[in-house]
Amino acid sequence: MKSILDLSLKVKFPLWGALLIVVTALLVTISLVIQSYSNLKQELDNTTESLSNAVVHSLFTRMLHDDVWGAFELIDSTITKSTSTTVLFPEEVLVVTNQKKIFISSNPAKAPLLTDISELENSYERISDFIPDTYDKNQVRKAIYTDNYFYSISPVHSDGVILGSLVFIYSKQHLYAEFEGVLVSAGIICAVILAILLPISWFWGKKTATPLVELTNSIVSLSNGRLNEKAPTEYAHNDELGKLLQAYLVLIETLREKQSLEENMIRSERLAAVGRLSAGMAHEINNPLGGIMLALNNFRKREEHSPQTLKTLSLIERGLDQIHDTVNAILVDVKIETRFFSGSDMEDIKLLLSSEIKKRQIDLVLHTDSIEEIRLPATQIRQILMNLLMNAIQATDVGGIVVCKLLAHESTLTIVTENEGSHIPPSTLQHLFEPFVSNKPHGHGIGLWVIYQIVTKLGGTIDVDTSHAKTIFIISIPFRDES
Amino acid sequence: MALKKTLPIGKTNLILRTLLIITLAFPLVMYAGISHAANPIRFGLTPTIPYEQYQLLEDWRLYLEEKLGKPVEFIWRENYLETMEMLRQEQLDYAWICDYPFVYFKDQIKLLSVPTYNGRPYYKSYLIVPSAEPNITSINDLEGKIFAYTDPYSNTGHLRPRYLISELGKNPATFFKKSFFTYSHSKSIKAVAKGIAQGGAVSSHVWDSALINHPEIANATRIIAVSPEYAFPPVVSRKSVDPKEFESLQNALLNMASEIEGRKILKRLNIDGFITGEPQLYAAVEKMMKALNDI
Repeated sequence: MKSILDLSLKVKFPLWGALLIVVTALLVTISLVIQSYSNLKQELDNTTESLSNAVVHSLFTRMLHDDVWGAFELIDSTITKSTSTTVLFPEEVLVVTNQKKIFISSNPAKAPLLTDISELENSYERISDFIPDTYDKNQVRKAIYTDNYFYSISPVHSDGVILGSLVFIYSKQHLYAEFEGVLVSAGIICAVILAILLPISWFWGKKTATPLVELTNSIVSLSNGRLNEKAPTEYAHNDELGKLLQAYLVLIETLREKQSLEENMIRSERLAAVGRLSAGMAHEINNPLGGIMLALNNFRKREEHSPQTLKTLSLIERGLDQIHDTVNAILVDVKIETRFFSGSDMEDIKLLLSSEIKKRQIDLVLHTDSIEEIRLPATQIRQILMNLLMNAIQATDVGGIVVCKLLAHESTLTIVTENEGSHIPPSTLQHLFEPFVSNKPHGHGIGLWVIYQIVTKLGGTIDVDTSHAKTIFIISIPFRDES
Repeated sequence: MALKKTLPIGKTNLILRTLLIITLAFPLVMYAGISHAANPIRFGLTPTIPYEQYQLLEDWRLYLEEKLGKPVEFIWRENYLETMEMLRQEQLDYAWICDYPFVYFKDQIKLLSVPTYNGRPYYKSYLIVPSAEPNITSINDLEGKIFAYTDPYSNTGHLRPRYLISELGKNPATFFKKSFFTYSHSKSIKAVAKGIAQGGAVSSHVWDSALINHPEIANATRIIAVSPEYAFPPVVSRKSVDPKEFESLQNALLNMASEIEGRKILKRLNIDGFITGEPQLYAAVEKMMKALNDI
């Protein structure tokens, strides 16, 4: 079972944020509600205290004089009169004698005069228990909470003499009703705050997590050996995440360069090795071959031979010629030449390619800067161009386009050929410039080998790009010096 | 200095003395003149009328001031005894009191005027109980219950119910479980309406007025007995009052019924008007008082 801590940051961040907000909001709301309730109770207590103090002294006099109506008017003034049930005034008031009989009440129907309070148990819960038989010296007001009522009981006293008790009765229903209002308000405010903050926090959580997640994915795939082509999300800020991203991009770039360099080096080494091997072999073959061909020639000229013998001799000579041609083809020697490549060479090339172009209905597009003279050996450049363009033309589908650009820039000649058509498969690409590796059903497969040798010997570089839908060869060769 | 030089000494003395006398006498003369001119009529009001109608009584006071051309003060007191004492001590000149104190203190006061109610200078005592107590139908049923009196010196609110009890052969002092004084007919009606007392006795004038002005209170009570009629609570004066003033106030009261403004006030007071009246009207209440040994 997946632990909750293993969830994606995209979920974790917003979740934690949401959790924090909810907990905070709830805690604040609850503490405010508790505080509010406590305040309400305190206010109730204070109001009762004030009312009591205001009334008790006059009440004493009236009780003393048995002034029933006067006492009634007094307590009647403390009762809540307004229609809105404000909780701070008592619902009912009782004035009880020391004999625990009702002296006067605000509701004579419920608490008739002269009744013993023990008979009022149904109307007032346990009230006879709450009213003390005697008061202590401090004569302090008592506050009692039952299930449904709040009682405030004060002695009616003056000069240390007590005539009875003043009982204020508050209905808890009203207290709760008032408090319910507070609770509902608090709840609504809390809900509103959450409704605003939660989506914001979720959004920000995700926004923070997403670039992290993407970067993580890129690095993970990097550790698996894949260099992702595209960089992870754009992240504009310069905090730790931004710096991490920058570092990652630099790392990727470095790794790519390194990989490319390694590949190039490996290829160059391989090609150089092949070159050395083939050169070595060619020389070893050429030496005895020359001798053999000379001996044969001498043999033919020396005496009369039968037709059969002559046929055999010719066969042997043709075979040896073929060996000679092949060996010489591999040995690509760059002879020092004085003639440089010029516009007329380009014309020749066009002519030589024309039949193949026509046959495959290729559109050959040439971009050549005003080529006056390119300070490079004409023969070699011709060979390069011929091989490249022939390959391109043959690789393109019928009716396709082949583009060739010649750019003379500062001290470098750049040749670029582009063609659509059959791709070079990756397996071939690895060994592309090696001899006898061919894409085509016919052909020796040494065209690119020859180009590679020439370009390398001229001090240049050759690259192939098959990333787009085309095959692009890019050759750069530095110009010869004036001398 | 100049005086000494310009006038001869003997004459100066004389002039100075005259000036001194005038200076001293002046304020006295002024005081006498002013106080004589602005001597207010001090009129005592008691709960014999439904006197919580303060606005009405203020309007009446202004009316009287206008008619008499001198300031009129209404002085409110809670009980009859205090009012009578104030008259005796000449702190009041006139007062509207109940019929009982009129008889009780008749040697000390003069009858100024008697109001008429329903066309006659008479009113009655109602014995009332809470409407929520349908089982109490007579004074008998109130034995051992709680009763509300108005004022110890009230006829309709104290004397009459005691008389009824004594007619039953019972002792008024012990007939009820508990009794108390409200010192006002209006308050007695409220006490009975709220059930503080199971019975009360009030002036028919006040109860009838309550039915008009505060029907919800009056209808919370029920009349179970109506007394014979007694002379209406009179307006009296102390014996030593100025006769001219006595007459002018009397006339003002008597003429109220023939004046538009006067009639408006009378209507609000719920009486028809004022007549001169005579002490003989109060014979019935005097008889009751003697029967109960109050006098």
